[in-house]
Amino acid sequence: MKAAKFDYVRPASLAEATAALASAGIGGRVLAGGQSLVPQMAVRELTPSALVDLRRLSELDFIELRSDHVAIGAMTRHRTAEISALLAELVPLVPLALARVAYPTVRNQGTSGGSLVNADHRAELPAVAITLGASIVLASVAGQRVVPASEFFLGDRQTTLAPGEILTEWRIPLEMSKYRWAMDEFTQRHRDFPVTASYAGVLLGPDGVIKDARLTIGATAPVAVRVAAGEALLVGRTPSEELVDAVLDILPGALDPVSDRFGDAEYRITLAQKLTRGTLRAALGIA
Amino acid sequence: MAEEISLTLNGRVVEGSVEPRKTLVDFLRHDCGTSGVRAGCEHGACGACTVVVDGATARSCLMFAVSADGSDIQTVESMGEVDALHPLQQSFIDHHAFQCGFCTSGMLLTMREFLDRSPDPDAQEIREALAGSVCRCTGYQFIVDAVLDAAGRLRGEAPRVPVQEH
Amino acid sequence: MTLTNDQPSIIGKRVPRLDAERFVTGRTQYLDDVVLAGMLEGAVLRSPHAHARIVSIDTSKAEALPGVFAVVTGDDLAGKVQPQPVIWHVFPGQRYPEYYALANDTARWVGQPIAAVAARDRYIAEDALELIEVVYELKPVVANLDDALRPGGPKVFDDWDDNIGGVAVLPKGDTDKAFAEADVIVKTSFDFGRQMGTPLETRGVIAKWDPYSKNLDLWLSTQSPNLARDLMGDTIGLSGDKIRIITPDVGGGFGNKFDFYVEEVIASFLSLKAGRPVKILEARDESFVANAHSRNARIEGEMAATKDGRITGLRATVYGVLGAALGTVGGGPTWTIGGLMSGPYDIENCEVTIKAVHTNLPPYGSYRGWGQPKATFAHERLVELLAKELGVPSNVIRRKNLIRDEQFPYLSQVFLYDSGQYLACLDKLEKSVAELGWEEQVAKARAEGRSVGIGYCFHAEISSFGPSRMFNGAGLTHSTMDEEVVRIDSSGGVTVLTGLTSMGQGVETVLAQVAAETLGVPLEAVTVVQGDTQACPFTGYGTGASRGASMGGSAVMQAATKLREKVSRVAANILEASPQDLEIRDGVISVKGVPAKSVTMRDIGDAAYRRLLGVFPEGEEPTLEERFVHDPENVAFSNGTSAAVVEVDRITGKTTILKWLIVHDCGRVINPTIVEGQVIGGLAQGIGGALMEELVYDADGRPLTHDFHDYQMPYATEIPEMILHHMETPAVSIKGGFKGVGECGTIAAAPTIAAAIEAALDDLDITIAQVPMTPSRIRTLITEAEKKAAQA
Repeated sequence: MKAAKFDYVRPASLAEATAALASAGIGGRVLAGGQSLVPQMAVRELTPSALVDLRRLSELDFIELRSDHVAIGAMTRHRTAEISALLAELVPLVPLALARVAYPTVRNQGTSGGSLVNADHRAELPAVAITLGASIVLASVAGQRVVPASEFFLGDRQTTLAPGEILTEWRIPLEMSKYRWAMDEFTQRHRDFPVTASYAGVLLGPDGVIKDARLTIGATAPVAVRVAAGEALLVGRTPSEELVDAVLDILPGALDPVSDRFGDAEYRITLAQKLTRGTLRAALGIA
Repeated sequence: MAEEISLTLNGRVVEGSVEPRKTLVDFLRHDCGTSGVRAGCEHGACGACTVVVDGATARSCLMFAVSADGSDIQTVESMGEVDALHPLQQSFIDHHAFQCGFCTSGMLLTMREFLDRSPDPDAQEIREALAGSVCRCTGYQFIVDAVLDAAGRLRGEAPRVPVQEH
Repeated sequence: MTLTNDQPSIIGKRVPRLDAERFVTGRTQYLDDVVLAGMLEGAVLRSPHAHARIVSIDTSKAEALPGVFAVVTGDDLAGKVQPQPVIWHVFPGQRYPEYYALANDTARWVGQPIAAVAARDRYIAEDALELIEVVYELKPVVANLDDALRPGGPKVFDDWDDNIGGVAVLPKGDTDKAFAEADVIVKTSFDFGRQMGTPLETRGVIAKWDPYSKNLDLWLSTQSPNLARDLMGDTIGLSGDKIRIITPDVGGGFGNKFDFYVEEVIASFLSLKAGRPVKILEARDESFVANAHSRNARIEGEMAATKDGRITGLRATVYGVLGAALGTVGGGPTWTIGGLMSGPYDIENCEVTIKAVHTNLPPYGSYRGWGQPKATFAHERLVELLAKELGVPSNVIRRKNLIRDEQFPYLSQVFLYDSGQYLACLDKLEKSVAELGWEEQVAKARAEGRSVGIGYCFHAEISSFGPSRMFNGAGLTHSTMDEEVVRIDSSGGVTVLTGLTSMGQGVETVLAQVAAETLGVPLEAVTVVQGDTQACPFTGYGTGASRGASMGGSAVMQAATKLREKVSRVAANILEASPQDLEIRDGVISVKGVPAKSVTMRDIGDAAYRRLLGVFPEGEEPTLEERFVHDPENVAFSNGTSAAVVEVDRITGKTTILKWLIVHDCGRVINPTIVEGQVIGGLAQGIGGALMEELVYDADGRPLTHDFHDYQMPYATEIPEMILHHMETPAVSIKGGFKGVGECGTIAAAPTIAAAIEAALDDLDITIAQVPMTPSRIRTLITEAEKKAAQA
């Protein structure tokens, strides 16, 4: 379990980083926290010809409240975000989900950017980004582009990130701060990868009517699934157990889960329903 | 192409020349002689290679040594003094909290950080904090006992050494 | 007559491990911490196919890579090595598929070594592996037991007519009659998944084959150094006296490091070819195909009983799912499933048929428990089924059928059980459960709608694997005796030399306790030397089979007793007193009632080694060293009984263990803390095997287990707090009364959990038939039972 050879660059700025990545060509890759990249390199599943190490790039380590969004820098450690008062107040789904990411030692080093780019289908942050309708900011020598999370993730460990691009930050719309959030996941072993995960958020009007809702099921498909039909069903109604049941009934038709050693498709649907009963009730405030 | 690196290891500056692909665990073990760091799984799922990098625990199998250039690194070797073991170390001895010892370095450093963050944990919190660290020998019970006791000792309480009689 | 030993008892005390400080300060030295001048690192190219003919191997590019010193393939070894050795020959007429350290013409499992490289470091060695070009021609794959048994299905060996390597039948009494006359017959069938011990330190070897002296030094992370030396000699045709096995600290073994592996041979030939020492350290990802696999079996069993619950017969067929080659222990663990299937019960009529079935999977080998986890799972499943059938609590059945105290020694199909207080053990457990109020707590939880239940298990554990001729007769081509040497040096310090390996269990501490108490010296005076076949005495078999503390402890006790006699003669001579007038305490020998008239062990050492004149007895042989070879007449049977409370989530199928209680009897306890460590640690391993751990394969024989996210061993969060009560029924054939304890936990865990799950779901018709009992499997059982209930 030793990585293949690669060239190594440690840029002092984002500008240097994009330049280094550009000159590295198609085999270049960014090293962020390394928690997913390094083990894949150790078994030579990934053999980048060059690594551009962002570890010391403090300009990408930030959590900022801006006019219409909260921005989280790519090099923000999971631990930093997990204990961020700002995130706890504005987008508690992020720290809620991060508390479920592996173990404290991994969260000390793992980064937002690394997790999003790695795009493991089981991972929490990609599902959170999809749920929150986040935007993902990609920079290269050619400039910057902003991609909605819904378009960024293409499959298990596949994204639209192009050669030469660096994920610099992700942005969470500020309107998400008005939602009530919940998430839960099922793992065989404590804090291991989830077999299925559920993320729910509800925006209630002052009249108690649901104005908007978010529901995502993670770890069952190559990309976390927004359950649009379930969300649509919620909008315009008032919270009730019957409403929760109705949404759960939608799940089997909305999901096409993978089967593996941890369970088949039917099992994952069962899990999704159980988890969603909990997350949805919490988000609806009927827990 | 080898890279020159310089880092502080257990309080002393260490310089080395490493291939970028060399992991921090290999560098610490084979180039620096801090063999108390162990490589148990080389993919971050067992905790045996845990070290402290710039004040926070890290899995040294998930970091390339070259990335640690300029960092401050601590390993189990610097945890206690010859005549004054860290309370966690002493408590691990008193409670028979290790068998083969391969996981012990990582357990100790992981628990030291945990007790820094949570000085008065209960047994269940300790078990959750131990998740991510594999011990294949002990069944964890005596590790939990040792950490509970060490937490007390760090708060200034008397040791709760187990009864020495059968 | 001898002196009186006035030493306060150390046997039975909770003393800390010897040299404990080095464990918590990072100063233990495992195989990868050994550095030799000029040492290279090796890596092994493994077959990516489960069954394929090797058409060609081209190593030229690898050989040309800078930093590479040697490349070897099967051709390099041809004619120079014997097939990998097998030490257990328990199936009459068994067929032995030959396999060599590196494959010759055919690869028969994913992971089988094809070629190997020695290079300046492991990084370059792995680079070189990528440059070796192998052309394969794929062949039909026997991926699992069903493939192997299917008439006309694929075959592992072209020249065999089926995939069954051997069949053994172990009878006792008249089983057919028992079943014909039975009031009740219950049947079970279950599959036990493929698992392994998975020590946190992977296997490793450093070979230093000196081309001039022809001496081969092997640093080996092993539980069985003497066995490794002899098997190495047999395999490479080198006289054993040329081979030295050095064992550094071992980072866990669990049986996996008992076996003799191909990498030992490969590293040796790489060393020979390169002229330098070569280390091969198994990487974690390759460990899942390179380490011996275990546990995998299907058992179809049935039990006959009277209507009042007396078991009259046990009949079973065991299919041991072996790999495509026989590991060191051959079909031994599989055979043991049958040999121990009656467990702790007095069953007059038993017949177990064991079939050794080959598949295109890695070789089957040793893992803590050997066949016993499956044997116990079988008899405890049947006891549970019988209890359900008769509508009584399962402990009623157990109590009615456990071997009674007066029946010992008790002859099973195969073994003579030496001693035990099984009924008292079960009583103690039930009393403890009652005192803890578990039944009430469970009832309360169930009233709240929670699916909670208590499961029980009673197990017997064969231990003190020692009688050499008995095991030779049973088909073991190696001995099982244990030799220990106890020495007092010129400064009065005590050294125990042992061939046993410490792989964490604490055997060194236990041996020191026995030596200290027997000699009458403080524990601190004792040093234990181990880990070098050239310096240490011979232990047959190895440190496994729950034999180290009992065999070694007993041998140390007897050697130390002899040595104390000599010490007393020397002391008597110096003190001009009679030995029977002397007493010893803390290494000071004094005349009884005259404490001022004394000598220290240091004086004795000086008299025996340095300044003999006038103090050392005339006619006595100078120096102070005694040995004892313990080759007992029989093994010793430990036993235990467990109770666990589990909660099952009916939706997710996940089992959470809430409480665990075990009453355990391993004879006279030398160190209760160490025993508890063994029992609790073993239970945790058993719980992992019961609920999560499995080496999963696809239909083409390709492994789906590559890392610790696939092979999930329990963290602290999956293991409950455990309560352990000791009982001490002395062993009969082991002087000192010690029995073994190493495997108890792995044996007891799965049956207890299975019973508890069924109890938690007792409103449903659920029968556990597959281990591990993963959440999705339990969920499937629940779904099917609910469907069945709805239809009914």
